Amino acid sequence: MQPDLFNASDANLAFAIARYREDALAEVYRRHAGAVFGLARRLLRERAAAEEVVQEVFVRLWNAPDRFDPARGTLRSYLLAQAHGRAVDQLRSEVARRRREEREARETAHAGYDVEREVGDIIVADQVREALGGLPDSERRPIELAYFRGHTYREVATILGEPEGTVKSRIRNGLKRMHSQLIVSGLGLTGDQP
Amino acid sequence: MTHDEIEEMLGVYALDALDADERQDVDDHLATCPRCRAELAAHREVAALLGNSTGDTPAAAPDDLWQRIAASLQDEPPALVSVLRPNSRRRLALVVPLGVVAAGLMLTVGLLAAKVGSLGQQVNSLRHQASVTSVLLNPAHRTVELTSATHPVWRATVVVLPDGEGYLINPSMPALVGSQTFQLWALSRGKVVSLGVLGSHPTGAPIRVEPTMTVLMINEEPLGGTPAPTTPVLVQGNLPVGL
Repeated sequence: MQPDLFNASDANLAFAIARYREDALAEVYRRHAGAVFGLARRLLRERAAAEEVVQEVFVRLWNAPDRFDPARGTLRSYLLAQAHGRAVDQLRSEVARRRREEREARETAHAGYDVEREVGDIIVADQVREALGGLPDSERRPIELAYFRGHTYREVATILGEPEGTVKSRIRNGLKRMHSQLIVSGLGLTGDQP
Repeated sequence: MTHDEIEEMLGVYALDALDADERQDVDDHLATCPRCRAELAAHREVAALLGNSTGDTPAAAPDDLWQRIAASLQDEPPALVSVLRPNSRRRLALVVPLGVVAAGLMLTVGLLAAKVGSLGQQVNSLRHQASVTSVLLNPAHRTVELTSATHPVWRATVVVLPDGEGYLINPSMPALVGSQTFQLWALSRGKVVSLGVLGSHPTGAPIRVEPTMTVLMINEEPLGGTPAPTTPVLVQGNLPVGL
């Protein structure tokens, strides 16, 4: 890799990728692939499936670098959002769904496993954990089930025994509350209140 | 759906927790509503932080994965615009009409002519719908969104199975003036090939995707279609690698 890339901003790396600089893609991989892999692994559990998501996300960045708009967020956020969408698509495919249900049934039988405990185990960065933990349970749980377990809001409503409309509102309100909280903690979020 | 109904869905949308049918409704609304776009951007910031916080120390990506990614890049045919000027594909993707590319492809015209129109028959039949449903129910299907960099409301979806059987569904395209038709193209080994005409009010079409194809594109052409593209791309999307 050339020294200029090592110090380049993410936006400049994305521009270099658009100009077929493979070493720029390698640098983006060095910076962000760990986080992307971590999220995909978190959702899919299976290493091979998570690697496939990482590969898809980086190949897509190579093929369509214009899709990343530096004005709308950081490159890492973009890559994580791409990875989340792909991982969720995989989770919702029929085969994967069956496998997951079987696994969850096994875990429930063997370890007194429950959804609430599982999502409670999430180790998150302090400020995000604080913001998430500061939400009322009624807002925190649907956010965790949707984001970290890949459930649709309809599935979340079924799991929690709440009306679908209620789940939608609580997720939206919880995200707004977290946004305000994270501005206070100075995580560099924009000040636009949703 | 009303603005208020869409607004209520922005949180679940940002978490990828909407069903596909509702996602489309939100996408359509977002294209025209700056207020909702701003709210969604804020939700997405929070979602990104959640996604970035799944471990005390960031997981390391597997060592050999980069090698596999790099190898798959070398296997890729050059992107469409690289045929013209490898150093500025970003700009050229927006401004160079496909017709310029076509000039370099005259040798293939005879071959392409035979293909034109062969796939563009009226497909809005019960049989077609049953086939689309069977593809969607197959867990191996992949979805490709064809979108426009400049007009978010122009879009189409392609669903495709690993054996290449696919369907263009839910196209949302601009109104055509005069005797024009939409035509579907693919980039295959650096060349643009026709996948057929779609008519002036496309509702969907069966397509066949070959392993060599990497990009799908739709543009408008004179009625009946042309063997090589003559106008700029309206929407495009990348086929998944290793389909």
